[in-house]
Amino acid sequence: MKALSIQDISMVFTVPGGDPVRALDHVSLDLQPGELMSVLGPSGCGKTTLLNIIAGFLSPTAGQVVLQDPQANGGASVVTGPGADRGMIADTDASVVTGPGAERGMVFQQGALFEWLTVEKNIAFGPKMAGKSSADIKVTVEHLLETVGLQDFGKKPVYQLSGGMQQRVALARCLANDPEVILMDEPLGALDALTREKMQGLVLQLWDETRKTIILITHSVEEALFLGERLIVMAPRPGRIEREYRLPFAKRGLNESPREIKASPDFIEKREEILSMIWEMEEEIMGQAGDAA
Amino acid sequence: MSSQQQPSGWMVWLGLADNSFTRQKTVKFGDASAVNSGRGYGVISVLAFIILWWVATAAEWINPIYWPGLDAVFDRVGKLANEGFRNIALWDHIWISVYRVLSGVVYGALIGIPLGFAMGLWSVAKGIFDPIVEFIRPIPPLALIPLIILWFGIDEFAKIFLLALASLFIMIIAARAGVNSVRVSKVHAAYSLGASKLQVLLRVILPNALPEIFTGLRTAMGVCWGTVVAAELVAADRGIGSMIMIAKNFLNTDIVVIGIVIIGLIGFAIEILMRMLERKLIPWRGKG
Ligand SMILES: Nc1ncnc2c1ncn2[C@@H]1O[C@H](COP(=O)(O)OP(=O)(O)OP(=O)(O)O)[C@@H](O)[C@H]1O
Ligand SMILES: [Mg+2]
Repeated sequence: MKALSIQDISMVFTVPGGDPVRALDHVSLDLQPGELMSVLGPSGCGKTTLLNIIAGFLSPTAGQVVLQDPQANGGASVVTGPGADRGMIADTDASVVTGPGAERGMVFQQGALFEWLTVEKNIAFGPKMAGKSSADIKVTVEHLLETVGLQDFGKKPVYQLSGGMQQRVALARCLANDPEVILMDEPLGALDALTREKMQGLVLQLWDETRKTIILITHSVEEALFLGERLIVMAPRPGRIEREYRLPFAKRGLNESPREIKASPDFIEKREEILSMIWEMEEEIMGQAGDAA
Repeated sequence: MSSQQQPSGWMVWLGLADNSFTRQKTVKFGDASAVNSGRGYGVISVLAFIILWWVATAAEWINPIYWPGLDAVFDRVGKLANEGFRNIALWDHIWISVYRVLSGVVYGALIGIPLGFAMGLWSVAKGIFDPIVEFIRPIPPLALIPLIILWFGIDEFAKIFLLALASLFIMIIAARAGVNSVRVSKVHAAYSLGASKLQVLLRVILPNALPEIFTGLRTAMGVCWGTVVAAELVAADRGIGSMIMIAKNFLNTDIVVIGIVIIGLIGFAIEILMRMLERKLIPWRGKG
């Protein structure tokens, strides 16, 4: 397993005819293998931008993202181009992210499944691209269908599934590639409250079983607290990390009932603290917008 | 009393009674989904037309040169089916027109789809072909007939060339729209799953564009069917369009009318067939 190191990332979007947007300003972060980190922040603070840079869809204005093996003592190498880091991972100790690659899996909010394929074939997409044998793929797919609780739905086209089931497929599709890091951008954002709670349990369970490094962006403070072993709160203009927390709730969620955890006094206290922090940020943004007008 | 009873299935199908859901609605005017099919009235209007036709011709209100009698038309259909028209079977006239349309659409698609893809994916192709496409798009294909006759004469090649040209621009635009309709998150997901550029093209962009491509094919079939008939009116000795043009010269109004009805029926059949194919081949349409 590899550690993910985000080194002094800045991102400036230059918009023709407008002021440049400082979407990220000197953001640094280190994730140990197997860490589960949630990211909160008001709209427009650069969460998606940060995730897209880690995924390799955007190249930052400054700074770099490095994946490296903490056990190895060799040097790190920089990955520079879509897919270029594939294969290299196996024989180098570290690589700089410069494009998308199969070792960083993505789970999007919705609409990123391939609706022309069945559930099985969506999950098999990654292994197929990697040229795995169909026998191997079959084993992987069957195992994952069971893991996410869709064993009877393999042959169904994905568009016949409910939103929650579709996100289960998205999780399974991502896991099928056995990525080093899983990046999720509001994966449960489009689900109803009940389905969302169930899916939070599934995310925790998958994290526990696979011990993957996971970064999860969410707009729900409760979800961020419950799923984040680490939680960072970002602030806008320029986008930066405002606070970081280490939280016990994700670990507790593995054994205790989620409802109880979410109702416990320390959970509620943290929730109120973060809510008021974000609330103040939003007020400030509104104030600035008011001044500008 | 009767308004309290469930309407019979037949009455609902004919559109003479509200279905049970519409019956519960209090707001009907303005709610387009509350408008019944009106099939019953459709049957009445078709019957009225046929009766009017029969009466008007049987009573000799109309000169058969302008509009044939109903019985004459039926006789002629039988003869055409048995003996053909000008030594060519009726089916062959129909088939040659349909065949021209199919070839035109196939050639148009074979060239147009890759071009549209290139224009959607590659700025050089976009730059080169965009002005040409935008310029030729508003020109009706029929306006090209004189030029094509000058270049290629009136043989089979000229007709298929015209039809291929007519469908080419439709297919270019459809394929380009299909490429543009892909959600970036799908492309991102594919790259993150380890796909190469070629794999993204073949396994994401292509299937994602199929619904648009199919819409293009359907439009192209319709446009080509209209164009082939017109082209045959101008210059051809076979085909359903030429049949009605030649029949006109001999004042065989009955054959002209039969030809027109056949053109309408086949255009309709093509549309229905394409819709059925689409439902079968692209069931995921609009569900992404
Ligand atoms: N391609 C782009 N061009 C210009 N500005 C951009 C671009 N992408 C993002 N931005 C700007 O960068 C800032 C951060 O955007 P980002 O999408 O990362 O925010 P976010 O935290 O994900 O917001 P949300 O919670 O609404 O998803 C915003 O001000 C946004 O307008
Ligand atoms: Mg976002």
